[in-house]
Amino acid sequence: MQDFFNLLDKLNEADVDFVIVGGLAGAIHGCTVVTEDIDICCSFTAENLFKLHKALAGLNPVHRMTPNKLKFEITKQNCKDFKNLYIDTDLGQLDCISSVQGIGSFDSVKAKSKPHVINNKQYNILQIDDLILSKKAMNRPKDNQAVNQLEIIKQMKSKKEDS
Amino acid sequence: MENLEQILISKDPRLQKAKDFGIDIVALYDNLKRTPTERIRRLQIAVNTIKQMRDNRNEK
Repeated sequence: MQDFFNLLDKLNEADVDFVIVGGLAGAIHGCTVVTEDIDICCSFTAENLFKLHKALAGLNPVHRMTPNKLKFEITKQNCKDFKNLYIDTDLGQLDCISSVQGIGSFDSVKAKSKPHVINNKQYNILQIDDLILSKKAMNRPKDNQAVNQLEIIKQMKSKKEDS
Repeated sequence: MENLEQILISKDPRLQKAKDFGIDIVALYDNLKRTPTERIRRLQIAVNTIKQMRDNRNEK
């Protein structure tokens, strides 16, 4: 079962430096498109990857794109090898990317994020305008559907602020 | 009787285009009244229901 709250909690508790992007960021902004995983953009420094490893310990994390579902391990030897990580855990899928198309590297993504409270904890979420930019840059059918919704959400929010 | 969709469109005629495009503007309007936590909770229910249905189908 996908457990968004507990998976986010684990990342938070381990002090992983990350920003929520992708479909979950869209859902947080109000999009109704269903997403099955958590997409985060995070720092791929050795320190942060070790924190990520610690966060997922006990959740049987595996590299979900590998045919034999290799165990997710971060060591001094391999910590510089990764650009993106596609992980499956007992609490659901977690995709970690080092940059976002249309936005740039983690530092740019973080600068374009804002904190939101989720389940009494604060998380950085990519702002709606930049989420739209990134989804337009990817230009996949599922992104186009989300872009259309996000544009309407922006419109509805601005109308509410005007009134 | 006027429904919520018609009321929303009468307040913001630009929403007609969204409706014509197939977007459920009432679902978006209702979702915006929820907190981010409530939105994720609802998403989680939807995702897990889909997964449960998939698992049930695979068991058959």
